[in-house]
Amino acid sequence: MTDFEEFYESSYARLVGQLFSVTGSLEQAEDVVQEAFIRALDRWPRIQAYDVPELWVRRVAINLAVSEIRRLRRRAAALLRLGAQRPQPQLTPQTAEVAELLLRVPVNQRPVLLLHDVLDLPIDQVAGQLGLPVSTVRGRLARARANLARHLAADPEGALSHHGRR
Amino acid sequence: MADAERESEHGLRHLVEEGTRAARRPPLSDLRHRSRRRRRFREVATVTAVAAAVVAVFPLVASFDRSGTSTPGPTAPHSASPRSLIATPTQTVPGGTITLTGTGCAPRKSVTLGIRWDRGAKLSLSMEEQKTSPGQPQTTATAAGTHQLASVDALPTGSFEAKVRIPTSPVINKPTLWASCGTSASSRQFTQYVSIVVRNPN
Repeated sequence: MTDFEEFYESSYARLVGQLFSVTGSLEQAEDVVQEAFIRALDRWPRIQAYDVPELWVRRVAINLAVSEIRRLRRRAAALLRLGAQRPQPQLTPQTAEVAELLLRVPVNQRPVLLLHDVLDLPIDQVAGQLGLPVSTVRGRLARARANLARHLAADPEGALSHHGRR
Repeated sequence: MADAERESEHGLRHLVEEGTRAARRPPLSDLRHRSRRRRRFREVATVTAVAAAVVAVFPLVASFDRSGTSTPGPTAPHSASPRSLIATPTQTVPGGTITLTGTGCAPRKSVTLGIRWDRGAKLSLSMEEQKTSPGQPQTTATAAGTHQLASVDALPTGSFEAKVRIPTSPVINKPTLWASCGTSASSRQFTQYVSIVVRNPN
């Protein structure tokens, strides 16, 4: 098994899970993560020398998710029309509802939520990984949380409430 | 609001966990195949773009032999016959006559012949030329410009020959004779140039 193969098999699913919280769609998360791995494959001699190559792939996938979300949506719609849709992943209704709520948060705010609220990175590391000023990260984080909380308040019996009660 | 934020954070963590479990990993060979296909596509696109640029630019910059003949550029698009333009003689005086012989035009199509000159030229048409070329503006003393001298039809072989009279009075700066015609390979007009020398008889 090559280094890249090992890296791919060990980190793919984790990255798809993380990117799911940025795209709000598991298919799109898979698309951007696969695209990021293809780019990593082309540059593997350089990337494997990094301390944590997974950070590079995640950064590329996040950038793709933020910048190409519209193109990906168009492509997904086209695939749907052509009947080339992938089989639906088995997600619980609660997760499907969270994903739907995420779509109401601007896409450039979602990576901040992922890195800070899910992966527990401090603000300065989030800023470093996203290439943003710390003040921008703070602002986006506050707005993203407020956005989610507002939608949650509008949907008191919805998915997040179920999670919270567990 | 703080409760809502905690709940949303919890919901996000759960979403990430579930997304990780549900991820469908394609075989690595699939990614390698896509990577190779993309590289090939990029290579083809690059070659196509370069070829298109060469085809678009080269007809306009055919190289010239300053001794009085022109030759096509090294990668000029292929036409039915080689393109050339020869001036005989290559030196004359104002009012003198030069025979232009060329090839590479579309058979039986019109070929326009003329003269152009660089900035600093002094060209003013004689009264006789003004009568035979109505509508041609009188050229200013210092501007670069071009002036149509004659028009002939190409032979069935695509070649042509015509005598042109160099405008009189007084001196033309770096004059170049040109022939413009359509080619059988392209619908675009193709112009060939040949440099001549116009000596002041005084």
